[in-house]
Amino acid sequence: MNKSQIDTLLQKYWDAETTLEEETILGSYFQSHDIDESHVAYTDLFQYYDQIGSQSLTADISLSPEIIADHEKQTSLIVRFRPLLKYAAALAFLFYAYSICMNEFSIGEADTLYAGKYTELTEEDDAEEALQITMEALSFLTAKINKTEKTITNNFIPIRKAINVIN
Amino acid sequence: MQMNELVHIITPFQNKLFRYAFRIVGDRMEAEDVIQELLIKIWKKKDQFIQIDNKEAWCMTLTRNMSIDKTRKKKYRTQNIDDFHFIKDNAASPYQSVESKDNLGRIETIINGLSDKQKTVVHLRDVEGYSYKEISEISGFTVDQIKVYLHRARVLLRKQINRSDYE
Repeated sequence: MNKSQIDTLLQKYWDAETTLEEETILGSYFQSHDIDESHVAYTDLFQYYDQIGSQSLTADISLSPEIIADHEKQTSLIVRFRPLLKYAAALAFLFYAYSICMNEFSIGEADTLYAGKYTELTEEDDAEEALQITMEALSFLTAKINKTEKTITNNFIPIRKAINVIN
Repeated sequence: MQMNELVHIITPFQNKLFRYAFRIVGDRMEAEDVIQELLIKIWKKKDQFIQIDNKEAWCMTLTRNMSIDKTRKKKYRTQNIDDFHFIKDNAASPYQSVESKDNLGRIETIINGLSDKQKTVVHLRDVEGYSYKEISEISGFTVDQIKVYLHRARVLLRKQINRSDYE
């Protein structure tokens, strides 16, 4: 092929209009020792494609009942443990949340403080005082619940990440 | 179908599968693992596999999905891969063997500057010599998209080659 024919082919190539056959012709041209000076800049590109395209498998890839059995053994271990990991994560989360609740939200403290006060009152004593104590107790509970909710939300972030990894 | 029959079917294009996997996972051994796992996967789906017309394209698609999956798992482990689909400059790549040679290394650098879609299309067309229809089957892109990606990639390559030629 002369220079102008290669020029035409090259232009078609850059425009992505060449056929596979034309691209083969270009590939052969750039593998030859007869490359026009104006085309030398593109030699590396075509030689690069040629070199990458000649890479091949070096490992022995085969199939046998032993290989499949080995693979299934590995897979079955993962499959077997995956649900267990989920349950373990769920249990860990519940235990963690429970511990936080017990530490942050001490019901016993509220019981002692407010229920004790209330039992000392009689019906005739003072309804307003009972209401006042109840309001204080509810306010105390609300504060504790808010604090616990915040702590759980903060602590849930790493647990959620762990669950995502397991999934 | 016997196991050796399946290996026999894959053999003519196993290097193409390997190079595609290598292109995505960026590590020779992992790419070989992908091909081994691919064989096992096909064996398990052999009834479906027998009925497929274009077995090579089907295997290439499966290779692509398995390679991306493997890279995603690697991403989870390392937390460092921000571009899963194609090889980073400093990663072990199928191009390392040619990278040491200055001129081909320069081409490698230019190709790494392309988008993932452009690299996929360039690899399947210019390295493997697939038709647009086959690339469409493998990649899931439409033929028109492929032409656009390839045209843009080649224009960029030409521009970069000419630019670096003057530097």
